[in-house]
Amino acid sequence: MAGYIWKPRAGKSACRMSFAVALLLATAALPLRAQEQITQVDLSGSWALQEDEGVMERVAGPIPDDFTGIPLNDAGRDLALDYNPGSYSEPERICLQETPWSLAIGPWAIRIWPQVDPATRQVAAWVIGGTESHPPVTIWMDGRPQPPMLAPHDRWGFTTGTWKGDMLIAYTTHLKAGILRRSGAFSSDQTTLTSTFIRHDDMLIAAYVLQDPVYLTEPYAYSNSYLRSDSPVGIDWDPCIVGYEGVDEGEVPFYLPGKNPLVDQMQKIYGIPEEASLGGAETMYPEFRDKLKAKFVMPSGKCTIYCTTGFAPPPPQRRAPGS
Amino acid sequence: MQQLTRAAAQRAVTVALSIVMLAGLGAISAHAAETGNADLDVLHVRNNVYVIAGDGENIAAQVGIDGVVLVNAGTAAGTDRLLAAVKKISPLPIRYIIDTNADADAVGGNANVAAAGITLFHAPIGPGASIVSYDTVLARMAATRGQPGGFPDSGWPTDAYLVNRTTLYINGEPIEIYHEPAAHTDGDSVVLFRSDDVVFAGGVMDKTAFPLIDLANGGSIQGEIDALNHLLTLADPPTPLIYEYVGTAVVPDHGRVCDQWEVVDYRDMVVKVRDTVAYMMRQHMTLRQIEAANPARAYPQYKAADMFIEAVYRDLSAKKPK
Repeated sequence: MAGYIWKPRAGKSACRMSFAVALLLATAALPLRAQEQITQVDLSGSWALQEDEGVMERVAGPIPDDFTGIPLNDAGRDLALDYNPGSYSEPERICLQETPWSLAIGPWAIRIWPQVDPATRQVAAWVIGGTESHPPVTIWMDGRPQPPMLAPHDRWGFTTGTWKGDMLIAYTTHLKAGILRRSGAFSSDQTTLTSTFIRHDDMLIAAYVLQDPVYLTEPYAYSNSYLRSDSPVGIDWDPCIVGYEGVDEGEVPFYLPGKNPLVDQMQKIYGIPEEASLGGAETMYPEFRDKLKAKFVMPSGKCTIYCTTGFAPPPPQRRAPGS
Repeated sequence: MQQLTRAAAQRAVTVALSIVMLAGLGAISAHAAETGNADLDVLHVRNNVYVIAGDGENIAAQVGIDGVVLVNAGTAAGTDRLLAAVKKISPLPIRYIIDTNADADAVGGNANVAAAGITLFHAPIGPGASIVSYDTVLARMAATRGQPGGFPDSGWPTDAYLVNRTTLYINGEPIEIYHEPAAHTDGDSVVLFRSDDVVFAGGVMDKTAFPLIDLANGGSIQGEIDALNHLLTLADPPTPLIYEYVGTAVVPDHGRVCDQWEVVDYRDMVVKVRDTVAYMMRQHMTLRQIEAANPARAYPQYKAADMFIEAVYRDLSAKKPK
């Protein structure tokens, strides 16, 4: 009998084969649902935001204490009215940044790419890249379970997705409390967000429905449309360091009840009464306009802020002497 | 023949190991995410630190080669469930219990849980686990001696400290214990697991309720705010790479695991309600009128608002210049 000869190549081969068998077994053990996660529409690419009805929301920001169209409850309104923009200069708050909701209300183009599971070769997740001050959102498609109740909420939240026909429906939980609108409205950490992505050739529609049992009486909906862009959208997000912005450590800027000096801005600028500007579910619906008509008084003088496009008008040109 | 047999054996072993590894990985990740327990929830927070919840206050467990360090011992009635949960995390003995205050749901289980552990010291301290707390916790527990429902002597702290900060170095990690002199009570401790970057806030922060300011036992609203500000110095935000990391984990007295963000929100809420109560007092409003106006109305998700408002009112009234 020939003596035993150890052949390293044979060993490697055996190892490869056994790994393949193990992989096969592991794949077979995956839930049927996970194996069926087949990408139905390719969302990948760079998408440029088409700014239209939301331009006022997105650029310079809305008028302070404009909560029209937000279904705030009393608690949500109280929290919004005690908001002092100086609170964002608290040294402890400067780098807190924003939740994924900012993706909906922000002015950003987005870039989407798939994350492929090397074992199954399926799309394990869709990632919407973070830009500037909003975090990237990972939409898990692999059927993983929700984190437990005790688990921390992070600035990304936890998002799972499913395909319904050609619509990708993403559901986000474990969110942090954050800005609902930059005029001072906030959502709580019990908020959930349902996002629907629909692609029509070179157009992408994103519809968001935010639900917050703490501060809203009804779901709050928002939508964006994007056009496919050949210019790659950057996926860098800014690092943050804390600098002094005029508020000392431990100082908490806010307005006491009834002391918010900006509460009547909508009335002063547009003649819109507080019952509309302070929001509430009723203010979301077209019928509410009829209710207000009798009380509306057209403001005198020329419009100076957000008159048409959402941008403040340019400063008046100085006339040349003699012209 | 021998060659074939050896190769086949090699393959079989490798396949078996691969399967065991895959199964094991699944089991480990499931364990890491949440260890199932009929009664108590166990969450792996980070590295060596776990949180056990479901029986009153949150309990933290730090585990390693030296044994188990618990922060709080739960209620007396919950000992069996707590010990069962701890056993699922580590088979090694409980060495220390750190009491963050003298509340019954923090120290009620001291005697039973300590008895199930083994101290690192010899008699006369042993044989059970050592118990660390601020001095006034010991005093408060000892004051119940002989009273119905009083804490048994064997549950009293064995290692009461009287300084602002004390430390343990266990399981290869420095554990810093800070005294918060007048927050929920005068005996609160905040515990920092320095290597694991986890801080246990104890009675200073409750994710489900307004802080309970126990004026009769040395608590105060300003001390509570000071303690929250101190907590913010221990809980680091993940700057500058805010989208890469999450920063220090903060375990509150009750409720889910938090981080610096939630401590800021909580501190701001406490300050706003305190300042609003103070403002209403300057308007000569009575406690009843202030309660009716409800200065905590913007925070319905937090329980015990009435108790908090009353404590703030009484504390500020007592400190008001006559």
